[in-house]
Amino acid sequence: MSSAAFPDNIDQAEIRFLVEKNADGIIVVDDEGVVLFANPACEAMFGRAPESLIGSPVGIPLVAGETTEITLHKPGGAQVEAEIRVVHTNWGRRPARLASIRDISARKAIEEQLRHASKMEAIGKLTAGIAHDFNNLLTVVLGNLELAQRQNEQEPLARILDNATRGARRAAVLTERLLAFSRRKPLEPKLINANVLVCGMSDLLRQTLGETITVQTVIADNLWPIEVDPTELETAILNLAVNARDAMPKGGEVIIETANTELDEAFAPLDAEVKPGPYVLISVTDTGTGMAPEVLRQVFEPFFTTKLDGRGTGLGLSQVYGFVKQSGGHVKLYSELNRGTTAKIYLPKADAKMAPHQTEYPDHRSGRLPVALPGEAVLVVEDDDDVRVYTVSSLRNLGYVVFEASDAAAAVQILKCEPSIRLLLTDLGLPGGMDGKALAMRAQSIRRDLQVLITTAYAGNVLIHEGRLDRGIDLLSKPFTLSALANRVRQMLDRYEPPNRTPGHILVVDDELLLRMMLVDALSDDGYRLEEAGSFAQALEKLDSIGGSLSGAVVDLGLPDQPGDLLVSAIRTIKPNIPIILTTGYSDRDTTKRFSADERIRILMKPFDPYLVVDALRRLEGQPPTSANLR
Amino acid sequence: MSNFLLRLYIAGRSATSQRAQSNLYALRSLIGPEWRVEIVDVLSEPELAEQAGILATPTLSYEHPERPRRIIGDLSDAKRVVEFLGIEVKEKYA
Repeated sequence: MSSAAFPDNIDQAEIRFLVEKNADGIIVVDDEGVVLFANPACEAMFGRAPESLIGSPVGIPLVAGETTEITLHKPGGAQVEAEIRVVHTNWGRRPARLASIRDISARKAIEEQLRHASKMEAIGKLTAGIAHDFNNLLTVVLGNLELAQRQNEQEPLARILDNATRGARRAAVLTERLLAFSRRKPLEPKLINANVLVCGMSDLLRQTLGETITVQTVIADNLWPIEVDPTELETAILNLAVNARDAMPKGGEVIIETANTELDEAFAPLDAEVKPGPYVLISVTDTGTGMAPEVLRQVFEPFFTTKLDGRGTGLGLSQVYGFVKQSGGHVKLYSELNRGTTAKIYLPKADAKMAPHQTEYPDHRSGRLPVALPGEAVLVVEDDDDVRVYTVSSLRNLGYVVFEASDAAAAVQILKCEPSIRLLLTDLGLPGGMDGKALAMRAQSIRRDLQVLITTAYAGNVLIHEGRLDRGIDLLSKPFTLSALANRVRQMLDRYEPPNRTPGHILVVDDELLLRMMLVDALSDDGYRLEEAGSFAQALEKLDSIGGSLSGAVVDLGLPDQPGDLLVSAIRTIKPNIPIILTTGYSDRDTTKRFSADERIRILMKPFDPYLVVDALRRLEGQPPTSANLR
Repeated sequence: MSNFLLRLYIAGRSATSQRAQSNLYALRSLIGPEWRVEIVDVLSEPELAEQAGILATPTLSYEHPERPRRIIGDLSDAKRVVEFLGIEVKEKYA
C-alpha cells in the first residue's frame, strides 16, 4: 500500500470500511485454502454469513490470466455466476491470497439471451436460404407433374402422378413452415379481436384434442385489438394445443386465456427484441408432462421434436416462434416437469388510430347475400341428413339448381350424368371408403373445370397445413352460416372467366431455366404467345423489340443482375396497365406493401402451380368480379 | 490407493465445468496412470457436495488423509495445479 494512495488523514478504520462496503465479495484464504476473512458482500454471494465462512476449506483460487469464472453454490441449490481475481498478500504476517469476487449472473443471463437470439437468427437465415432454393425446385417438380397430369389419359399413370404430386406438395408445406419460422412467410395482417378468434376456435379445438381433454377458455373483457394474420394466429394456437394434447396422453385440461398486459422495462431486457409497451397476451396452458430445462431451450429450433415415431415434424413451435416474431410480438414458454406447460404469446396492441369501431373478422359480412346466376348447378354431398337438408334448401333458396348425394359413389354417378354441375360441395368425412378429398380428386379427374368446396367440422387448418389442397378446392369450416355459404359458393363460381378472349403476348422473366420452360409450356397451352428472358438485361432487350405488343408479364423478383422491382418499373413506363405476375421464393410484408398500390400486379409465392399463373393472368386481364362480395 | 484420487466438483454442463473437465483429463498425462479421477456433478449429487463443504465449482479436491488440498478454477494452468496439490510430476510424463 503506497502512502500516496492513502493520505495521512485516512486512518486504519476508514480503510477497513472500504473493504467492508465494497460491492464485490472479498475473501482471504491461507496456503491451505482455508478462509481467513470474508467481507459482508460475500453473504449475498455465498448465501452464508461471513463469520460462518471463516475456517471453511474453500480451496485455493487458481487464476490463469487476470480473471476466471466460477459458480458459487448457495445452501438450497441456488447458484451465482461469479468472476474472480486473485492477488498474493499477507494476512497476520503469513502469506495468503485475496480473491475479489464479482456477481456476473445478470450479465451472463443477457449474454445467454443474445447468444440464443443470434443462434435463432442464424438458423433462420440458413432455413430461409434452403427454403427459397427448395421452393424453386418444387415449383419445377410440381409444375411438370401438373403438366404431365393434364396431358395424360391413362388411369394407372394418373395414380402414379397423383402420388408424386402429393409427395411434392407435402414437401412444399414443409418449406412453407420453414419460411414461417424464418419470418419470411408473407402475412396478411388484419385488425382482429383475439377473443373472437379464440372463441371461434373452441369447437375445432375440442374436436382436435379429443374427448379426454377438456378445453377451457378464459376471455378478458375489453381486449385490445391486434393486427396480425388471423390464419397464422389460429395455426399458432392450434400448434400449441396439439403439443398440449401430446403432453397429456392420459387426458387433462387445456386452458386458453386472453388478457391485456403491459410489458415493461423489467421484462424487456430479458429479450433484446422485446419492446416495452401494451400487448395482448394469449396463453395456452396444459396439465401435461412438462419439459426439462434442456428441452425448453431448444424447442423453438426447426426440426427439434420430442415426439416419437415420426409423429412430429419439429416445426410446430417453429411456426409459433416465426409468426409471433414476424408480427412484432414475443413468445415465452414456462414449463415444469410433471406439472405442465404454459405458452405465452404476446402480440402488440394495434394502434388505436387504426382501430375501427368494430373489429373485422371473416364470415361476419353483412348486407344482401349473393345469389345464383340462372341455371348454375351445384352438387351437395353430405352423409348427415340434417346438414344435407339444410345445405340443399339454403342453396335452393339462393337460386341454385341443387343435386344431392349422401356418399361419394352416388356423387360420382351424378357428376357423370349432369354436365351442368359447376361446383361440388362435399363433406370431408364420408362413409364408404372415399372421403371428401378423394371424391374431389376423382371429380376433378372427370371434370377438370369443376370447383370443389369441402366442408369439415374439424381440423380445417390441420388439413390445409398437412396437405395443401388442390387448385379449385376450397375449405368451408362447419358450422357455417348461410352468408358464409352464399359468399363462398358465389366466390368460387366467379373464379371462372367467361370464354371468348384473345390470349396476348406475354414476357416470362426468370433466371431458373427449368422454371421458365415450365411457365412457357403452361402459358402456350393456354394460347399465349411468349417471350423469354433470363435476366434483367435480356428482359430490357425484349421490351425494346416487342414492348408495344406486350399484353402481360411474369417476373421473378430475384433476378441475377437487377431486382425484379426495377423491371416492373421499366414495364410500367411502356405499358402502365398490363397485368404483371410477380413470383418470389420468399416475400415479406414489405414486398406485398410495395406493390399493393398497383392493382394490376399479383404476387405468387413459389412453389406455384403453373396454372395458377395462367389463372392469375386471366383474372387480371379479364372482367372485374361480378359480385361485390368478392375479396 | 485413496492417496491417488482427484475429485472434480462441477455444476452441470456449464462452459466452465466442461473446460475444467477437459483440463483435468489433459493434466492426467502429467501425473501418471495411478491417479484416479472422479467427477461429481453438484447439481445431480448435491448431498455429496454438501458433505464435502463445496462452496464453488469447479473445485478440484485431492483427498489426502493428512493434507487434503483444494483448488478453485478451471485448472487451465496445469503445472501450477500440480504444484499446489503437491504432486510430484513424473519425469517420464513431464
